[in-house]
Amino acid sequence: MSIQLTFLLVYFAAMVVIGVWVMRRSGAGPEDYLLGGRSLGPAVTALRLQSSSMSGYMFLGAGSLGYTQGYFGMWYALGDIGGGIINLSILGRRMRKLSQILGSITSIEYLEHRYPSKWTRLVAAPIALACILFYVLAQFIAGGRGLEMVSGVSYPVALAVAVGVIVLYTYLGGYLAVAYTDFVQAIVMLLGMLWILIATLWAVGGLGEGNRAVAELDPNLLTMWGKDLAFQGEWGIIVGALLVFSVGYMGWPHVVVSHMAMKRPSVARSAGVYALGFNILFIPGPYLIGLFALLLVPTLADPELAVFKVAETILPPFAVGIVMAAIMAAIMSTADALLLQAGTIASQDIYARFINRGMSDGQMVWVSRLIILALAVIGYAVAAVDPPGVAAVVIFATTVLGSAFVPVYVCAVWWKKANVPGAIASMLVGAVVSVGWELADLSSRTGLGPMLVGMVCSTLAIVGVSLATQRSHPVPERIRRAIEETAKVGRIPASLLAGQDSQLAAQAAIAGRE
Amino acid sequence: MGQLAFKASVTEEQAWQAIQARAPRISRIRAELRHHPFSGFVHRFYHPVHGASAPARVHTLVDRLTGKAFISEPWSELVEVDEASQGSSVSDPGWNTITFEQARERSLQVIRVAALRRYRLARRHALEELESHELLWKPNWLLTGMLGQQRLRVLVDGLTGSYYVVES
Repeated sequence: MSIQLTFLLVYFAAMVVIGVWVMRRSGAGPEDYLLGGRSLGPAVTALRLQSSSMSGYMFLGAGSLGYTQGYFGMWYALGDIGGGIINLSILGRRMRKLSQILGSITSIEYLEHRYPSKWTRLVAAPIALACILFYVLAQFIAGGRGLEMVSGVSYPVALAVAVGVIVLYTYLGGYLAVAYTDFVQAIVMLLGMLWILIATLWAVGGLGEGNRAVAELDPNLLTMWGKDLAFQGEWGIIVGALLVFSVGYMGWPHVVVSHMAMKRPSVARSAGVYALGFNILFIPGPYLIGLFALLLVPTLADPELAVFKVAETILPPFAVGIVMAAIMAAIMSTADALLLQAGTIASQDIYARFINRGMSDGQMVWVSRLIILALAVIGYAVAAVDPPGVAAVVIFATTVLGSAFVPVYVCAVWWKKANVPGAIASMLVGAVVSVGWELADLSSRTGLGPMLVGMVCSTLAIVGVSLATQRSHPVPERIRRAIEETAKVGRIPASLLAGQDSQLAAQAAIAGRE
Repeated sequence: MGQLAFKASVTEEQAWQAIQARAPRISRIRAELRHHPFSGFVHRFYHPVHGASAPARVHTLVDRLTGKAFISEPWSELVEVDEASQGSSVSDPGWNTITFEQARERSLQVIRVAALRRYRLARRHALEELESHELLWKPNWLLTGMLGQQRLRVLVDGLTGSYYVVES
C-alpha cells in the first residue's frame, strides 16, 4: 500500500474517531442534538459551512481553469469571494423577514408560500433536484479521479469506492458529531491548500518569478483575458463568469436554507468574519496552483489533475496523502450536504406534498434513502461511462440554478406584482434557456455566457408574464401585505442591527403595527 | 386571550438593559408587554443513535399568525392568563394565519426535517405526540425610545432577552 493511501485511510479513521468521541463525550441526548448548533461557537459554525461550500471543484475545476486560461480564472474566484457578501446584502435581510412571515421551513416551500400554487413547487423541485444531481456528479468524478491517482486502481473501481464512501457517510453521519468533523475537515482543507500553494510558490521561485516564467510560455495567461486573449472585450462572458459563483450561488437550495435558518446573532456576526477570512485564504489558491502547474507539470493530459499532480511532484509522499485527505474532505462534506438536501426535497417537497400527505416518519426516511441511492446510481453510471469535466459540470449546474431561481427569489421580496404565472414562466425559461445555450454552444458564437443570457431571459419572463397576468392571477392580498411589511427596512443603528435575532422578525413586525 | 401563557422571564428593566448594552445612549419612553399566539407541542422522540438513553421530549412552537415552526428550548413555567394580560395580545395582520391542525402538521414537519439533517438516514426515529396546546401566549416587550433624534421601537423576547428592531 502506498504511503499516500495509508495517510488517506488514517485520515478517514481519524474523522470517525473524532466524530464518535465528541458525540459520546458531549453526552447530548436527542433534544440537544435536534437543537444542534445552539452551543457551537462562531469558528465551528463558520468553518463547517465553508467545508460544505467548498467542493471538489476547488481542487479540480479551479486548478484546471488556472492551467488552461491563466488569470482569467480569477473572475470566477472574485465572484466566489464576493458571493456571500452579495447574497447577504441583496437577499438576506428581506428574505429572512419574509420567510419568517410566511412560516417557511424549506427553500422550495418558501417559493410556494410566496407564489401560492402547487405548480410552483412542481416546477421548482425537479429543477433543484436535477441540478443537485449534476453537482453531486461532479463530486463523484472528483473523488474517483483522486482515489485513482493515489491508489493506482482503475478509475471505475476508484469511482465506485468514492461513491460508496460518500453515500455511507451520508447514511451514517448521524452516528458522528458531524459539526465537529466538518470543522476539522475545513481546517484540513485550508492547511492542505495553503501547503500546496506555498510549496508551489517556493518551487517556482516566488510569485514574481513564477509569473515571469509563465509569461515566457504565454504572456496572455498573465492577463485576465484568457489564453490567446480569447475573452478580451468579451464582457458578456466575463460578466457571466463573475455571476456564476456570486449571483448564481444564490440559487442553491442549501444556500437559501442558510438564509432562512435562525442563528444566534452574536455567533452569526463573528462567523461571517471567519468565513470571509477562510475564503480569502482558500479560494485564490487552486487557480494560482493551476497556473504554475504549467511550469511544474507542463505536459498534463488532463488539466483537471493539475493540483493533484503538482502536489505529487513537489510534496513528500506523506504530505500528498494529507493533501489528498483535504480533497476528499471537500468532496465528502459537499456531497453529504447536497444529498441530504435532495432527500429533504424528495420527501418533504414532493412525496409529502403531492403523493402522501399523511407521510409517516418511516416513509420519510425511506423516500430520502431511495432518492439518495438513485442519485448515487445515476451519478455513478454517468461518471463511469463518460465523465465530463468537474469544472464544466459545477459551472453548468450553478448556471442553471441561478438562471432558474435567482430572479424568482429576488422578485419575491423586491416586487409586489411578481405572481404565480410569472414565477413559473421565469423558472422554466431560466432553466430551458441556460441549458439550451450551453448545449448549442452559443457562448462561443455570441460572446454571451449562459448565466447572463439565462438570467436576463428569466427576469424578462417574470416581469412580462406577471404584468400580463395581473388581472387573471393577482397576487393575494395577504401576500402583498406581507411584502409591504418586508419592504419596511428603515434605518437601524449599526450597533443594534448587528445583534438582532431574525427569529423575532415577524413577531416584531406584527407587534409594531399597532 | 387563551388559557396559558409563558411566564415572562425577562423583566422590563432587563429588556431595557439588553438594548442599552448595544445602544447606551437610548432614552426610555415607553415599555409595553405584548403577547404573541403560538401553538405548542411536546413530542417523545427516540433515535437508536443514542442507544439506551431515555427518549427525549422535544418541544416545538408554531406561530399561529405566520405558520413559522421551530424547535424550542424546554419550556419555562406556564401560567394561567390573568386579567391584567387581557388586551395585551397582538392583533392578526392576516398574512399567513394557520389553524391548529396545520400547526400540528408543521410541528411534525420541522422535527422531521431537523431529524433528517442531524441524524442522516441509517436508522429510523420514533415520534409520539405527548402534549399539545392550541394556544400558548408568548410575552414580548415592545420598547419605545429615542436614540439621538431617531425614535426607535424594539421588540425584546420576554423569554430569552434577544431583540429585533421594529421597522417603520
